Amino acid sequence: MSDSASTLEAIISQEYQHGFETSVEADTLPRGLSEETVRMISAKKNEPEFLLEWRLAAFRRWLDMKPPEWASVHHPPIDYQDIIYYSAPKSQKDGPKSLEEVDPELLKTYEKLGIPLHERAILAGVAVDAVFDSVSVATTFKDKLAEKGIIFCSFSEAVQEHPELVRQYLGSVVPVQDNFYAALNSAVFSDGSFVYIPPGVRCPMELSTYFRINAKNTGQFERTLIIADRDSYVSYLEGCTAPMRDENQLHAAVVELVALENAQIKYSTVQNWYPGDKEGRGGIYNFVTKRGDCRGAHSKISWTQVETGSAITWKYPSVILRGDHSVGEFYSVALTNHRQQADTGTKMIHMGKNTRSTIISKGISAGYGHQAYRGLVRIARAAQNARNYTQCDSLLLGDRCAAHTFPYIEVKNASAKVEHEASTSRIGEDQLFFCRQRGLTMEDAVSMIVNGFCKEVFKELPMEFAVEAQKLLGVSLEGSVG
Amino acid sequence: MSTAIAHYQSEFERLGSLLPWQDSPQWQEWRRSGWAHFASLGFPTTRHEEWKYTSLAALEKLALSCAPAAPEAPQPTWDSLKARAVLPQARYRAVFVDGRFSPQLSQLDGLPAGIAVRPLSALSVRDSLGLQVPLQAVRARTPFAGLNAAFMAEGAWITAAAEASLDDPLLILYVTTRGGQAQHVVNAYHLAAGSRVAVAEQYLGLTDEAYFVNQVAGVRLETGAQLSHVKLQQEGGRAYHIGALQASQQGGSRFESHSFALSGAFGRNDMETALLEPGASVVMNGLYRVASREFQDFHTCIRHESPDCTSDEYFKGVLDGSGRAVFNGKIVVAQDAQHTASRQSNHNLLLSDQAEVDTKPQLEIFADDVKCSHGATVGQLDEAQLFYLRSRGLDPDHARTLLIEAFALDLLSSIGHAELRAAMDHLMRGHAHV
Repeated sequence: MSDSASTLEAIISQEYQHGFETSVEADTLPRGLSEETVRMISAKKNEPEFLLEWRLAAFRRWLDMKPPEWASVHHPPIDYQDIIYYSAPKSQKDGPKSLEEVDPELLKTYEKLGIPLHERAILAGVAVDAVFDSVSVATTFKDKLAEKGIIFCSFSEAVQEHPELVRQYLGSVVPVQDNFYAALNSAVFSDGSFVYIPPGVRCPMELSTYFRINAKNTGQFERTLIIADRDSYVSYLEGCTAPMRDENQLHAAVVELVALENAQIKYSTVQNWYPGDKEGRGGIYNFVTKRGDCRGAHSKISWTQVETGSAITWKYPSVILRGDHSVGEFYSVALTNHRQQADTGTKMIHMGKNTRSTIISKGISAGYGHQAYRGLVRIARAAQNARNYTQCDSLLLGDRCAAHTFPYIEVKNASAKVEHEASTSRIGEDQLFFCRQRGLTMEDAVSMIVNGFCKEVFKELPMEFAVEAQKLLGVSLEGSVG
Repeated sequence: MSTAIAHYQSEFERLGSLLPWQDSPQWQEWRRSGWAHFASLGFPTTRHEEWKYTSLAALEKLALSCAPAAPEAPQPTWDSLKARAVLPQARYRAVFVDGRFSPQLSQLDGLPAGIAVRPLSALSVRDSLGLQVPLQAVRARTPFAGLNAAFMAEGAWITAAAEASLDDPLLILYVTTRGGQAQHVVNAYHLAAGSRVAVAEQYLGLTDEAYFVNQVAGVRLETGAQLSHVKLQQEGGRAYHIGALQASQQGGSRFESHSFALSGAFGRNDMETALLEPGASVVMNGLYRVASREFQDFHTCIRHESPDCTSDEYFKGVLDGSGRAVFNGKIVVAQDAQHTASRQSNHNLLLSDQAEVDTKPQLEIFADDVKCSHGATVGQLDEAQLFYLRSRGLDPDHARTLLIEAFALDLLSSIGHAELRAAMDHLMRGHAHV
């Protein structure tokens, strides 16, 4: 009896599944940020002169900038001098050429996370550029991709081997002075992924990367750059988990997408970082700048995100529709439970003729969660026949949560058609009653209704992500109904 | 201190002794705090979120006189005004010319029992203090409401005793005949339990010179009171009109507000209502029409502070020439305002490539058992509909006018008061030609 009680206890207190920590010796810079830190990061990574200059320019801009205050999120001020800006696993220095050379501790971590690295990677048909803290450890499928001329590597590797591409595209979508966190990232970014799809190539597999924040107090500053050249196609997956800890961690990533003529980029994210405990202690601060540039005619960029983690999310994946006939899409499910806060949405900037954009945003707020959709649809004067459809719905679970909608619509062209719809409601008693009387438990009923609510977004996700995302919602909502 | 603030400061010092109720300490304090509010905020710039799309730079440059018109100034006649008035046959009317009450043009005899309509200038100090009740909340709403509190000298004070009703709609007409003036006018409504009032506020510009109407309205509706309110802006081609309205609604009260911004170089309205007790309901509708280089801006806010209240908000815009319009509609549902039903929509018709609309429907919801929705669209005349009308023999201009009229007049059906609805319908049909 007492045995089963303690087992039950153990199950209940199991708050965050992926909360373990790998102790790997890390090569870490001291806390704090100065021009010296930026120079050291650049030197450690053996970067060319132009990149150092670029970082320094960003750093100088950053010094004059203030953290944004307009978002409806609340957190104590962040001490940017109390962060370690660089930490690389020690074993990286020898530069592992294959999986065998990789630190077994690291491999174990990935195993626990269920990353399809190793043989499983081949079976799953996924190439993984796994980022452990700040430096890429292993990249698989490179050869297979290389055959087609696709470059899929860590950002540091791209800097060494394709500096001309990096130089041409880095910062061309998100300029260093874009916003406070983007400037910070530009100054101190450690690593990330780099993808280049040559003209006419359809990437044969989903490219995937797993981010994982490890080593205490290390803010991660990822930099991702994806370039789809003319007539190419790529689908990119990003998924995240992070170990549990009490101190808030800052994550300020920048993702830049460039789609040239006729190219298509599909970028999917499942974000499940540590959201903090029920009282709102700990958790990741996720301040991300994601932007795509439809530079060529007939290009298309599609963002799909499922945001269930992080204590605070500040994220607006956007598309600049520069090319004529280009298409931008944004599909989002954001869930805030306990004390989580999310201020998320998108920007669709229509500049080319006959551009189209679709925004589907589903927000679910439970417990004391606070959530805001903040979006901008701008139709520039020259954007003839632009079309936008926006739908943002919020679902409220519990009487202490909140959902806000701030859509900005700016239209300067009379041929534009812009539609915006939003609704906020809670799960209908009648829907619940129907499910319950068919024998479903309360939790299953809620989970089913919530998944139905999000269906339009989930169907945009690649298959394996869609399954994962549905499970994730169920898990994240645990304890919010009763 | 900016030159604009300095200008108003010197006006404030110059006119201080001429403003009404000077010997009342309550009013001295009222004006002082209003001035302090304006002086501390100054003219908002486009860096201010609430004024992001609205530039006041041109207004700031005008050095306008805040003194009311000289009483001996020539007055228009009612016969000349009648043709433009929304309610030409109004049984009751209060007419103000260049910011001053005109007893000759007004007609306030024989009001139903319990209903009082008085110009501010006719109020004794003792009677005037009641004004502070409905105006209390609005004076800090915007910098200009503060400026109004400092300078207010004229306007209409409408009260209704319990269960009293004014069914023949009252016309409050503000006419501007000359430029160079800043008018700070006030309309205050205090409706006691169960009373009913219908009113049309009309702002009419008869000059092409620049002037500024800085208007404030305070509304207080006690339990079960009903106010049908139409505000009509037909300002002059170089006129600035800034309005602020704040209503507070007790249980079961109903506020129907219909705003029509039909002309004027620059218009800005900040409207807010608070639904304070169960059963209160509000309809906040509006139409803005801009052509050539005109600008209209509506910022509305509906606060659901209590359970079981409903709100409906419906704004439409017709934009032509290089006209610009801004709509920002906010619905706030407080934590305990369960069973709130709220609907909001904003539809815009863009007729020219030079026109621009910026719209932002906003929901802030802190309660879970609510049904709230909003929608916004921007579009143009439907080619298929135009084709249909032309295939029936209508010329292009006529077909266009008909469709624009249909788009705009659709709003009128929501005016509950039959006489007001008919009057607006008559006026709008003559005005749909953009």
